[in-house]
Amino acid sequence: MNVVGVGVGTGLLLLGLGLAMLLLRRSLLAVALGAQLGTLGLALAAGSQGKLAAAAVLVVAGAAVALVVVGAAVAVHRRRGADHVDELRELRG
Amino acid sequence: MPEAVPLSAVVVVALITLLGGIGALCTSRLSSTVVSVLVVVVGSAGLGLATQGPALAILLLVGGMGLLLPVAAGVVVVDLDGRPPRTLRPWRLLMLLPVVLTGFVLWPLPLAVVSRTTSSSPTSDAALLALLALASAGPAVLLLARRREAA
Repeated sequence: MNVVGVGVGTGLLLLGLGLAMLLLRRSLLAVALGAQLGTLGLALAAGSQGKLAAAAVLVVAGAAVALVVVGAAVAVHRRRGADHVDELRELRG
Repeated sequence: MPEAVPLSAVVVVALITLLGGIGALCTSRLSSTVVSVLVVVVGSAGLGLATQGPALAILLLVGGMGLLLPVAAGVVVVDLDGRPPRTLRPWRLLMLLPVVLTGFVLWPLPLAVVSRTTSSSPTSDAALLALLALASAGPAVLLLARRREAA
């Protein structure tokens, strides 16, 4: 095990934790934080291997996703008074 | 590649980072989740410093803070933390102002560093900077929207 291996492994574990947050948390803001955690993990894993440009693109894309989800959370909160994802049923068949 | 860093120190930083991630998953309050993700951001920057040097560390630290900023602003300003929304008081805006300004000023720095070292395409650099400017405008939009509603 070397330093780069620790960086890559930690990044991939952070990606797993972020995915778990995406699936397990109810609040839209917590879901946004999960997406950030996963993005940061991927950026760490890519950057540790020397792929700095890929890491930068991941971080920027993650920031754009965070903006969209936070905007949705604010809109849902104003309309419904809560921001839980399991209450969004308009598109359910 | 930076100077040789003791593997034990890197492992300790990695464990702290993972503990922050587990804390973010397990805490119920959004404010605690934000703090846990902050620990992850700082730990990731430390790991980046150990593996690739200051360029990756700056990218992960400032980029991670930029990722965190919109959600932190949402939690602080809109207050979705399970409590009823409160009127936005001026001191709360003043408290957030340095954070937002720091986000605006520091956001382009990591990209500039990375694009200088890795990329030779000015078009892709410009596209990245445009996306970055869009992302950093988010907290300011949130603040302005909330202030208008409070007024």
